[in-house]
Amino acid sequence: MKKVALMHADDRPYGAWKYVLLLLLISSVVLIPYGWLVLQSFTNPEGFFTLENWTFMTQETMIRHGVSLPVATKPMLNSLKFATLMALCVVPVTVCAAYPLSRTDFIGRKLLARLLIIMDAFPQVALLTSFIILLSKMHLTNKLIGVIFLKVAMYLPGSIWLMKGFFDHINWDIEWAAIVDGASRFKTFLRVIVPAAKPGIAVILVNSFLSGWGEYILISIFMRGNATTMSNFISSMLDAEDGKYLVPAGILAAACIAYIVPVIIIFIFAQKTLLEVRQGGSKQ
Amino acid sequence: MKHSSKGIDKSVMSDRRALLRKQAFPYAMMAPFLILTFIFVVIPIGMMIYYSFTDMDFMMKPKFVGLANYKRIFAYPAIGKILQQTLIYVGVNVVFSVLGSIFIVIITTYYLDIVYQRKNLGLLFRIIWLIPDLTPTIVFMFIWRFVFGPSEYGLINKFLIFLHLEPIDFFTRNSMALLLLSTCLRSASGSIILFSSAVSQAPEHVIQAAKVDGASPLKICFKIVLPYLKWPITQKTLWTILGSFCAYESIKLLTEGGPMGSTTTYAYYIYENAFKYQNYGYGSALSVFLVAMSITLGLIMLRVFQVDKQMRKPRMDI
Repeated sequence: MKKVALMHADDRPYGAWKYVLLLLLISSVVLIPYGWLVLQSFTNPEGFFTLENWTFMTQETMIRHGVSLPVATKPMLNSLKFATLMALCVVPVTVCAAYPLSRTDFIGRKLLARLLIIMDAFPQVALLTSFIILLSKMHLTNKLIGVIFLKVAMYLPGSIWLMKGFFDHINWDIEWAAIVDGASRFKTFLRVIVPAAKPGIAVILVNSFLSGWGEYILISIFMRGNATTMSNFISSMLDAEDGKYLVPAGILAAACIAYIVPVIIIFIFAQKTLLEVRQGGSKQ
Repeated sequence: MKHSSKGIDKSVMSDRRALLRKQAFPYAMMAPFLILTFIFVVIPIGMMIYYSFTDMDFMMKPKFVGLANYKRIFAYPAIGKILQQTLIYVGVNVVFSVLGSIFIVIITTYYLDIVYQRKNLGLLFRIIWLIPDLTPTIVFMFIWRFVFGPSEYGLINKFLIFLHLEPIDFFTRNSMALLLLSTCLRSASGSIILFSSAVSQAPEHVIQAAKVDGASPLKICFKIVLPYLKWPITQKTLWTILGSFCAYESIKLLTEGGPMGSTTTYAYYIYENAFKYQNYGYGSALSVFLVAMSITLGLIMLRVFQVDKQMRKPRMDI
């Protein structure tokens, strides 16, 4: 019996190694750069193993004479705050707006769907000038909340369209049953539909969190100071004029890794969610 | 008589009220979205169009200048070069990222998962190829500084010195190639999941039957599996065209448009004018063209994605 089981386990065709080798070769374009980054973060300029590069987590890092970056926990917490607020704004607004698009009939429904696609395709860079003027008129410059509003507004059309797709796949019958039982439309939505759409909501939650966590350009435009968030912290290790490193390369590498680690942790916990089809695609 | 007419009136009123409620519920639910969009998208679009006719700058005292900004665009001597670089950037990015992504997905999801039944290996490589998409942009772009940078930390130049060769300054000599390599990798990474789930929808029994009939794996791949990718490829191609037209963050992080403007694309030129030179009026005029292009692409998407068909009337009418 054991032999049969063993035979069965080996039933798969041979020759996969060729493809694995080919894939390893192609994937080296990704693996080697990342490996090099990790290696850099643990070596000193002479090429020996060291943990010195990681001191930016516990003490201030000097970038110029008399100018130093704060301890990295502050930008880390700020990034966390930014990403959390972003997700907390995106998720309820998306879920509430996607539900009527999927489940109710109203005047202007088709028009709104079309506008949603066109707005999703709208380039952020084209509105940059207006954003600069708008935020300064609203006295929101240099405040994280202003940047979050901009980012959320640009992010919503895509996520609403995605969420609408998730709602479309939920069975009508449960909703029907709840309404026949006398529940109002909103109550049905809250008690029946939202729980049924949990996997979809998780996708929106994780994606919007990661998008907020990695945000760089809007923060760099609208926030002054060199440690607002982690991306700002890393970019201030570079000279804005000529792109030269202001800190030893090892420290920059270590900061980059510190910025990725939370993403990896989220990936491990939300693997299934992240591997779901992301329809609509993402803009760069 | 009077009585009954009053009754009709009442029923009409209550009908209207019901109708109103039916209309009010969806709009109430969408209110936060509509308000946010109005303040942070619709008003900025209006501002963009208005300021494109003014000489708005950091002084914040706009003066109407008519079409001067638009004339300035066409008079700008480097605009041809910028457009040419934009087209190269978009073209190479679309072709290589989509083809590369298809190639990786065919090998991992078709060959390893389906033909050779090595599901774990396939998943492992798919996760490796997912990493660039998950990495924050700033880190992903900085990684290439560590690979191609000067010999103090640049991997390739370190290696060249190890081989007693002259180090190469990639960032001045091949900046466009560097930029293309990094953005292609990232956008290829972004389509792995979509393509992979499309390939895995190919029914296994059809593939098995074809195999029994003696079709080679390559033939099965072209005849049975690739047709499942038609739709995702269209989708991803359109999005990559749009995404690369509007990309400026990665350019800012890797090459800052240089050296000598050799990696400046149209979108990056807008960013420079808005943020670096603070020519808000001129930047707005430039933006108008980018918006026109994106709306055109958006209309094409409406057609291709058959949005109206996805908006069938809800079955329930409450």
